[in-house]
Amino acid sequence: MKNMIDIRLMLSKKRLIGLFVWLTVPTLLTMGIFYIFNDVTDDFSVPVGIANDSDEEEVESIIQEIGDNNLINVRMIEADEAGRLVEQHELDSTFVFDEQFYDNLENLRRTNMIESHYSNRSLAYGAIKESVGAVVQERYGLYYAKNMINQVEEENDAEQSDLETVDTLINDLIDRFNLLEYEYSYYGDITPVSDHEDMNIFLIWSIVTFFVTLFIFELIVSERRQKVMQRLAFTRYNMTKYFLYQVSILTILLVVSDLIAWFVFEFFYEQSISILTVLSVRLMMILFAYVLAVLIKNVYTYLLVSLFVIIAIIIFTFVLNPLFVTMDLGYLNHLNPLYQFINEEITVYWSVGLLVIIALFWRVRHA
Amino acid sequence: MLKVDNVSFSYRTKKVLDNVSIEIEDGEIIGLVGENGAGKTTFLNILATLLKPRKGTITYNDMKYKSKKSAIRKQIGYVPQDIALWEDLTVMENMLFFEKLSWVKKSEKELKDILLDMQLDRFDSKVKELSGGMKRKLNLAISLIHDPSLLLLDEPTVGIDLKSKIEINDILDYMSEEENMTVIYTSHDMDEITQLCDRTIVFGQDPFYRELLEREGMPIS
Repeated sequence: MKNMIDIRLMLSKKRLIGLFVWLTVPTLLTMGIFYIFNDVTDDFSVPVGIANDSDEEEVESIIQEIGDNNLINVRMIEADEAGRLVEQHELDSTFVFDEQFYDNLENLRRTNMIESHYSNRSLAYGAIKESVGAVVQERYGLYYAKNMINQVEEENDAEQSDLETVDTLINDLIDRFNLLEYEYSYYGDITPVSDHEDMNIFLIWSIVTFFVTLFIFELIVSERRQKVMQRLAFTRYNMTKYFLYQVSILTILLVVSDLIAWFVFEFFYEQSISILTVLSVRLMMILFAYVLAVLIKNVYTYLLVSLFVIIAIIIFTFVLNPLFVTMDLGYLNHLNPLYQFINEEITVYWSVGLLVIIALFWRVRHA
Repeated sequence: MLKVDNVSFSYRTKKVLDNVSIEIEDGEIIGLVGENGAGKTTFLNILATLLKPRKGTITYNDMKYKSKKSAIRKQIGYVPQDIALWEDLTVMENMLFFEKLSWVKKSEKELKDILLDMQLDRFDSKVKELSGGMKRKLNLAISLIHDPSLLLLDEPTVGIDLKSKIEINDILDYMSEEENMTVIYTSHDMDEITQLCDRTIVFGQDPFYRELLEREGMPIS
């Protein structure tokens, strides 16, 4: 093995820096993409529809306050189009302040105060719901406090309240402030998104590292084509043995890079996945790249096919997989080599499939 | 001793070799001649264990090719027609690369000695900076790292200057004379063949080569 490492270093002398750069790409690029999705996108306001069926100034002032939030781009709509606009994905979500809203607020009726509409594409719904809720809750709290003070004053006229009663009232107020309730509605069979979550960092990483793995294995394809390889027959290592060693060295480097990525994401981004799941997807990627490298002799064809594979995986992951679920064709999701990993499972099916292909390939070749 | 007995080979329906038989003593230099496509390289590749004959048997020092391929390969030094070198590595790095893959361990000094025997002293020059003749010498030097006793060369002097050609021929002559190495090589250069070889094998139907060699008094097998 030492000889093989020496040879690898000798051959990669000029590409050594490049190789290490490529090994860091999955972690760094994932962090970059993650930052863009989770931080930079915060700068963009989310289109939200608000219908106001009330004539009260108080309601208008609440809506005004909601619109003051930079995150929210308020568009005034009619109550009867609230659902349709979400369904057509023109708006992220919609909120209806009906004619009873003010009456409910004034009389401290918390339930069914606002009607909201959202779909599974309402990516910002969780954050918007919280923002709208916070404004309404604050106003509700004011009305509640006013009501309570009035009540205390009335009681004072009759009989002076002791400190214990006031304390109980305050605690009651605090408790009630946090209990504003909503009636949520959504459409068709679409699964509602309960809360906006951070993008899955391991999902991005798996796609990037798959691409990098295929790219690094170009090294095997280009070396295999070298005329110098015909000499291997007259050495201790035949072609197969030589490349198995070389693939092993690359695998070790890639696994080290995976473990670093896992550590960074686990401890700095607090996103968790088991190491076994990461190692299983690594095995699948190595087998995938190996099969491609064995089957494709031309470097440019190899790179082109690799690019198509990655594009296909992106389409599968972000478009086809959700579609298959809604069409009740969930089993087709396994066409995506990363599907099991994305679902935090150990990647088995694709690895077994690729091993079968390799076994068949050897059998045919030896025959 | 290398014994070839009734060896035949065909590519699909095209018969390239038909019942070739020859016995070659240790230390002999054998030239394989004939027109293009006559089967010289195919025969050389069969002797190098890179191709299996469809028919016939071959033994080298009583080892059967069929059953002792790995052991026989250790005895073979193979010089392909292509310049099979790492162009971006230096002369010495190329030697070290194959030494690390070789069955026989050699020190840097021993590797340098092989290169000096070839009159190749630009150890630190990159292969891509070398002349065609120097590349051919390095191509040959790499094949000698594991001390083979049977040297098979496919047009080792093609496309190089006369000086390099003479130097390579001198090396082959030395290997045969002093190291008792059996040398079998293909060439289109009849002067080279007649000067260097002990015997020749003529491939193909064209009588040109046979007549030419007979005129020169060259033994033909």
